[in-house]
Amino acid sequence: MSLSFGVAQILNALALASLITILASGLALIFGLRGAMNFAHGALYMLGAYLGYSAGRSLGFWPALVFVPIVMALAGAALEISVLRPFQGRTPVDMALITLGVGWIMEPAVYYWWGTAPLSVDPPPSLAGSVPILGTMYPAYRLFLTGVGFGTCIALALWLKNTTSGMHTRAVSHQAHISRMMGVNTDRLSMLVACLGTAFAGFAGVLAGPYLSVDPGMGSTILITCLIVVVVGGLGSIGGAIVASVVYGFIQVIGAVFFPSAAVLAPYLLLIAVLIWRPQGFGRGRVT
Amino acid sequence: MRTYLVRAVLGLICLAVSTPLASSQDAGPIKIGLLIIDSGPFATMAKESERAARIAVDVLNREGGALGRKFDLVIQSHAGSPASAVSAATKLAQQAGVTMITGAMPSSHALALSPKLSSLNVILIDGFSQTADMMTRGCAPNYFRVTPPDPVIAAMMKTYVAQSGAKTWNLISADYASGHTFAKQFSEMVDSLGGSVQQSLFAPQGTADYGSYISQLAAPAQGLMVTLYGSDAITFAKQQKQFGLFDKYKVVLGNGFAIESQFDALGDTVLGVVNTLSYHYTLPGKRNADYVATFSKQAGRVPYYGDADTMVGLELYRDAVIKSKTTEPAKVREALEGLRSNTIYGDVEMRAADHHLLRQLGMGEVVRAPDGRGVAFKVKFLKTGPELYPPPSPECKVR
Repeated sequence: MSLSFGVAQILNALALASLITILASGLALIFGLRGAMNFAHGALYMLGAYLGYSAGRSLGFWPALVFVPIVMALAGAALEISVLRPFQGRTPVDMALITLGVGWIMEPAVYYWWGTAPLSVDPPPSLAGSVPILGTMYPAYRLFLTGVGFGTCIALALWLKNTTSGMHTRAVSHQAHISRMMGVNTDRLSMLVACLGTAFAGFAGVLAGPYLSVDPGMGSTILITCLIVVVVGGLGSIGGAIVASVVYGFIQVIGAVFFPSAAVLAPYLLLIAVLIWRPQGFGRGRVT
Repeated sequence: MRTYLVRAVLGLICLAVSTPLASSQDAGPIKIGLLIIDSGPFATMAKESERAARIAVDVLNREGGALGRKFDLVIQSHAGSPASAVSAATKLAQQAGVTMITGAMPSSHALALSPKLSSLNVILIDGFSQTADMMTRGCAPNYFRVTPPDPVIAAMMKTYVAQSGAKTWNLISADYASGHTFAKQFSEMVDSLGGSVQQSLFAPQGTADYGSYISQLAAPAQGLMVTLYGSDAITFAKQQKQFGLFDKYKVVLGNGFAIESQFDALGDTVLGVVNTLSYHYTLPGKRNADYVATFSKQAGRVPYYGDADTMVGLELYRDAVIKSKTTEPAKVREALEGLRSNTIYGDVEMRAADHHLLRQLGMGEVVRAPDGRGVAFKVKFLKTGPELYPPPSPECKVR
């Protein structure tokens, strides 16, 4: 294997991991605070991608990258008010089924507006070319995606660690009752986290446009990946989700190169192995 | 006594339930079941499949239907797995009372459905799958196919591959039945021409990142053969362009990859690809011209190969119903076997020995559309069915 081939594979793994990281972080954040696995997350990501397609055509890629997460944050507020808050206290299975239902409602709505034919989004002209890296020409958009993906997660980690609202989020995810007794407004915090989680899904959707095809199946496909990553990373753990995303990316790439016939099974084998070896996942607990 | 009573009541209930269905097929509209997939990569074709079938039914009904009855379309969507396809077909046959099924049917679905058709008492006319297995072990009495199968596609490509001068090939195919059988057929064909296949990769359905596959395909070869479908094809095309993969090859061939129904999304990512072309709206004949005019009026675009295959499947069914004077599947099956019919493809024959339609197939190159917006096919050649189809396999048992 040549150096340039190896470098390309590492970059491929990181590009895939970065997209999954953004999505899985949003999912982990909501789970950490609400204890609800949001099965509508894949559909929210798909909605973000379609909104990104439309906004990109009328406003351009860069405005879409700002505009769509804001719209999706509003969708997150609606999700919080209409689903997460009224059903808080229900069992995890109930919440999973309810959010799955929300996703199933959103999908036909997307079909209605945009149709079922796949759509394509071009990268912005400044990122359309390739750049030389250690003897290989590598697409600039993938490098941008990798940087933005991991940069977003670092920003999220800094927010959780260094701000009052971040500290409150960590506190509520560990001991909601005590946090409330200490004066933390959990409803307001939950609203913030739901908005952030869905904004992340929308952000990932816009970023995915020039990377993948925008199509009706994109949400359900990536939801399974995200669930694996969140479980492997440790339920509700942001740091764990980042590590698990990178491991997932490398497993996919290594599998495709060296064990192509088993590549499709690799994520599930990882899930089984982690559940046996370390059932709590890579992370140290919720929202860490 | 009580047991007999229970049996009698159950028998009466069964009779009550089945009688309306049975009689409904002797009068009233002739129900045609359409399977569509509403999730996964094939979901992208759902609306188009439905529209193609609706237009085909409209055309046939305007021509008088069959036996003085009109055709009626019953749509059944499913999740896209072989099991869900069987379940959807069962619902169509047992609840909706259809006697003929068509629609979106990847090869794995066709393989799962074909053994069930006799017990469901339905005819299936497949205008979708390509696997070679349906010409051999997958053959079934009530299964008929309109689409050209992989061995025929490989045979058709042979002339082109020989002419291209490319001796070394890389392949990327979908990691399911059709992709594997086609890769095998293509590799054998390249070997027979004295060439070699250097890499044959298989990508799972729904692959998000083709980067690792593209890096492997960058290893030098003269020709690249791409057999990816639906949204997977679009993702691969887009990502290869960012890597400049196609520029490294002398010739890039596509099988189900660069197709007209996805040209809007594929754009110039597939410029120069030479893809299989089983139908083009410019095909000669008045019947095709009339169909193109009707389709264009209703859909706002010319028909593509999937639309045309749906139309031809229904034309054949209509002709078989008229010939057999009934919709009873056993009789329609007999009528379909060896049926010679004038369709939008011209005069074609449904071969009795393996239930495959001997129809045209060729190749087209993706070029810029004449108006400069988007891309279009330039027909390179079209061959007739008898030139391409191999003799029926002795493995194929249709009786």
